[in-house]
Amino acid sequence: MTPMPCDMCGARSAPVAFSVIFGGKRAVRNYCISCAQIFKRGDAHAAQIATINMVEADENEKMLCCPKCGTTFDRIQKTGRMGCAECYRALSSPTGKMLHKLSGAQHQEFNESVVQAPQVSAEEEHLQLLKGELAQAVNMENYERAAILRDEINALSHHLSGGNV
Amino acid sequence: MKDYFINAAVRLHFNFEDLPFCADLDENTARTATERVSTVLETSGENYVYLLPGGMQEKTKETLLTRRLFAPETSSAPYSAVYLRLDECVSIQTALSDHAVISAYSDTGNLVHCLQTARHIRRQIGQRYSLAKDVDWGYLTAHPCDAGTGMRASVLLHLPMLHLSKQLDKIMRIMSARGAILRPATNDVRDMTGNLYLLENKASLGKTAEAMLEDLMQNAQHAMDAERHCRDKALEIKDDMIYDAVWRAFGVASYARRVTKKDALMLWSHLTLGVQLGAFKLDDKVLSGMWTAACGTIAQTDDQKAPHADAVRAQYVRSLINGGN
Repeated sequence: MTPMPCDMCGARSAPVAFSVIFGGKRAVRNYCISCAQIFKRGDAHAAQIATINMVEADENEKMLCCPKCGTTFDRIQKTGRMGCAECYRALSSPTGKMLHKLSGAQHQEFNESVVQAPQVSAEEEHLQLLKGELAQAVNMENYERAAILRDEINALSHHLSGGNV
Repeated sequence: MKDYFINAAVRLHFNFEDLPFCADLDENTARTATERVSTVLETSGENYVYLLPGGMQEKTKETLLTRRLFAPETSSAPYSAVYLRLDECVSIQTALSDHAVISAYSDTGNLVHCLQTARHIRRQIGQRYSLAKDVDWGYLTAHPCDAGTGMRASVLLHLPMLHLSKQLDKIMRIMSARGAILRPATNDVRDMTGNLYLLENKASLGKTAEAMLEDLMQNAQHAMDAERHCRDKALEIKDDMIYDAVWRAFGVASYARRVTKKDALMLWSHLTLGVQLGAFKLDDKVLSGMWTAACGTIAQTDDQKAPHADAVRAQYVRSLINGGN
């Protein structure tokens, strides 16, 4: 018997069948081990699969095809994955609806101009240094030194988090 | 010792403009993405170790999973690679569904610092290679729910009272309405232990990353306030069920001869709660030691006469509580 392809990635074979409810309707989805992990975890990706399936697109929109990779919107709805960067632009109408449904927004605010190299405080730098020393002490099996370093690290971490931990 | 707020992490997803997405499914794309990341990291002035998920030791994997520096799906992504900075606070995973994911971890809970660190690396890569980005939709990702900032921020919270008083479902619903997801901190709900929960942003599009972090911190504060309120209430009415749970943990920690990692995490959770509720007094060092017993690794040798790791852990826990017996 030919193994069923995964409904999410479409590439790997799918040994796991999930009974899911999309928009009040029960459906069966077959996932490979990798995609099933995402679904089972219950995080944002899992929530997204249900939401993307609920985006209403007419037949013309479903058949829209990316000129670069050939991915259709219908396939994106089934797999929850875009094919390439061009998919976002070529399928902008249904994709816009989908992104709106996912996040309540249709465009991104940018403030990349304010991106700076990370500012690490002297204390945080000292903390990293101590952690390096701790790893070294453990490797050298110098547990007395490791215990002292551990206490120092705990005290400094506590101090850095403002005691609000 | 850490109580409500344990640690924080930020993940930034991005792709290269000229390569097809879903690098986990195509070896050539995966190899190109990995090579590009590697080229930039070589000149970054930082020290990284290169790890292949297949050849990674279990304890390394465990540490990285605890710090959210390793996505569980990486294990099954055949062409994936992990670059880990030597301080074990930053990782770059390549060839997942996105070409690369930068993860930054902070055990002091400094989300902004995590974001700055991850952004700095993404900018270095972006200066050399063109990244998939759009004026309207920001960073373009394989999973549309990551598009925009490409950011997933998470904080690890310790919420034992909400769990014991069965208030978590309510808080999870509230968090969902406020644009965040609160979920058990393990990959499998059956493995849920230690009353640890991850709170993460639901949407990554629309606001700036800084605004999203601010929202997340507000939501975390809300969850912690609810936990604090529950603890105050338990303290007020001297709830027998709660005191029974924490005293049982004290008894197990004092006398158990075998303690698994899961047991140790639950003991840490209940003992921390017991101290908070005033049931007993324990030094901060004891609770830190319990956390280490739960999250650290005890090497198990092949020597049949050597004590089992769980027995060594139990002895360590007993020594913390009552100086060993």
